[in-house]
Amino acid sequence: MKKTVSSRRSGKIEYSQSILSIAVVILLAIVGVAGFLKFYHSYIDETLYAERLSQMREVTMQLYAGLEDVVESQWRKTSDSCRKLLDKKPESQEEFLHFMEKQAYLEDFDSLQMDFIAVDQDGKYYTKSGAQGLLTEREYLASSPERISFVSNLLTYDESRMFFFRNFRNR
Amino acid sequence: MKRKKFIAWALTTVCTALMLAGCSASESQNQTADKSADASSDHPVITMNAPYRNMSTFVDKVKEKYPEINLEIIPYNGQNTSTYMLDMRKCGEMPDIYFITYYTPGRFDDEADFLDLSSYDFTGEYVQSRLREVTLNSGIYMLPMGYNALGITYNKTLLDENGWELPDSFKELEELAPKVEEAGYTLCLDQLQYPGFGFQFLCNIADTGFLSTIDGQKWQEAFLKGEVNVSDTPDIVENIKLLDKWRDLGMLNGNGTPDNDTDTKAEMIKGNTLFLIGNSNDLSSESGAEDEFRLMPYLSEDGDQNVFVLNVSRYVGLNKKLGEEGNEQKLEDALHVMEVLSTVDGMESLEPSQVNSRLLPLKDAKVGEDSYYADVLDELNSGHTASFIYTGWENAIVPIGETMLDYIKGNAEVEDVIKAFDDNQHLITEDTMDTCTTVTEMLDMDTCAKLVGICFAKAVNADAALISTNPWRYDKDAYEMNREGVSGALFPMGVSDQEIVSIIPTGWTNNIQTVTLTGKRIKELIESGYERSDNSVSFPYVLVSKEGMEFEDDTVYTIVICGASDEVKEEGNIQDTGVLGLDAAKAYLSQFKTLSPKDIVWE
Repeated sequence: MKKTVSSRRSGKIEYSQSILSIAVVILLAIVGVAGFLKFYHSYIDETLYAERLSQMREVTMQLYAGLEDVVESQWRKTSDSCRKLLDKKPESQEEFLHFMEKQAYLEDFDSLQMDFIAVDQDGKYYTKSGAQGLLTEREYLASSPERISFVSNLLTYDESRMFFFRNFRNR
Repeated sequence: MKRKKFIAWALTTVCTALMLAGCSASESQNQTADKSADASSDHPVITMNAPYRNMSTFVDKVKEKYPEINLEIIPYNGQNTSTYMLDMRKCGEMPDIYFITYYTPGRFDDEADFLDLSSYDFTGEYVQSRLREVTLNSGIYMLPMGYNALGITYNKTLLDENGWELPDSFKELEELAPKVEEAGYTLCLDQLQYPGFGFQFLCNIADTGFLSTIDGQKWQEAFLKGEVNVSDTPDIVENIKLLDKWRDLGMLNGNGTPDNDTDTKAEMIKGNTLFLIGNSNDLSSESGAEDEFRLMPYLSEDGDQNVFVLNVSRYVGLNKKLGEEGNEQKLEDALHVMEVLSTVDGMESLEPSQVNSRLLPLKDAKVGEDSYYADVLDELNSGHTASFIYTGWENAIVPIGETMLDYIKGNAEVEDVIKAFDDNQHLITEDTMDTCTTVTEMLDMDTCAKLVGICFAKAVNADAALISTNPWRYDKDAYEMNREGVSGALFPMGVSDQEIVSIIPTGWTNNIQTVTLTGKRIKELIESGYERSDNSVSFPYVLVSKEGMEFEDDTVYTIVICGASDEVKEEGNIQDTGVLGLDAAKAYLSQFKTLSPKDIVWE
């Protein structure tokens, strides 16, 4: 009888120990899985972040390089037109407008969606069609910068234009 | 066996709980998001001032999208909107969402007063060039609302019927003027109700010459700094002398009832006048208008510098206090309101009756064929524009404007106008105003109504005063709130003419009016309030009388009234006392070195 009781006790102890072992193993497994998932997530995040950063850097560099090329090309066109204007030295507004018209034709500004404009000391601007109103951003010219570029929008439409100006005032 | 099952179940639960632990955070976030969209939530109140805007339609738009938002409107329909809004800011009494009429980035400490709006999605809805005008150190603290192009209104029907051509230059206008007079019509009427208009018309005409050029802009900056004056600058003297040509031709005159813009507009609508210089755009949409009215620019001598003057009607910003700890919900709600405001629908709802005469600074905005500006779009886009001149000049606008009004009416010469610039330059450079008293503790709207009642009634020896007030009322059908009563408050600061005019219903130029009514009728009016003809709601009266005075039902009293319906005007035989409201208020307030609510007593 005593033996039976003792064997039952030892059986219970073994049983408890085995359950505990299973629990420990499962817990370790869970901790392991959770740890792995956490590591995996942060690894993936870091990798994705690094990858995206690198892509963005690459795209931005390409964009900037492209933009700089375009801007440089526009400045070259502006300088070129200015040299021709200095060479031509029109003596009247009519001659000046004729020069602008001819220049626009020779450079094919229409198909490039470009326009040739000039601004006088008051801030009034002129296109090949003649005198227009006041340049909205004329305050940029107040300090007589050697050259300046800026983006402008039309007043009643969401249409942007980029201006490139060289200063003739001091020549 | 049961224990095994229990342990297995427990472990499974633990495992499931652990495995799902990662998901729980995102679920709780979702619950928070759901809560913010809960229509029954008790969100904190956010305040928004509304200078001369009936916000009822806008409030509906906000409620439609965000029903949980508690938006409190603080209306202002007084006679000096710009000063009142600015005083609000100077005294730290700004609401959460703050509207102002004029704004120059950096003139005051924007970074200390407002949240930077540059990184919010709704800011991306605005056209880039409009944003550039309000950008300060890469930040955006105020966003522009709709804007007007101001010019000269002309009666197109009259022009066409007589076979006249619209003048394209001042020279052409000089040729047209005698023909108009010969035909028996009036050449031009001017709206001269406020001194600010005098200053504005002067600048608008000067913008057709030197003032709007690059050198003119530099001169303005130098004048505001006190580095130059008018009489020493030949270009600006020559520029201001352009006024003589406009007056000699008859474009500047004091014909009709120039001190009442509404009457002047009504006279124009009759159809016997060709031009109107003033700020009333789109007269064709006015009731009773049968003729077609259009807009032309201020004309330069040979037409090469004709200008429309661009004026942004309102700017809006968010009070920086919304960014403080504990205000997270208020900030979220205020951003939602800004989001609604930054749409074409939202912006148009601020002024449903002005849709055709406003240009919106939004990318989605289109100028339709029926727009008031449809036939001048080319001119607007080709640079025939100048900016409205106001900011920086605030302290000198009234004295210069008053001299200009005298000039327009023929009571002063152009030399007087030039002198007015130079004599008042110190008000700008020293940033000072002549004050008659100093408020030490804020006087709210009802207290101001009491103050106005006392000083008006005393000035005309009336028995009492009935002063209507302007609390917020939801009324979609009304064009505006109550502008005949007291609107706004007096803030703790020096009180100059500008502050007085901001609260008195008589404004700069109107006299005190009285009616004679029985005590019974007065009591009835207190009950019913002021019923404006174009509003379906009424506005409360504040009855002001000597301490302890009782009104007998059958006794007839002479009382000052601010806000009277046509019926009350008739039955009370309304009388103009000939006493200027501004003078009466100034004389009364000058008795006090300092002023607080306890001083507002009629003993």
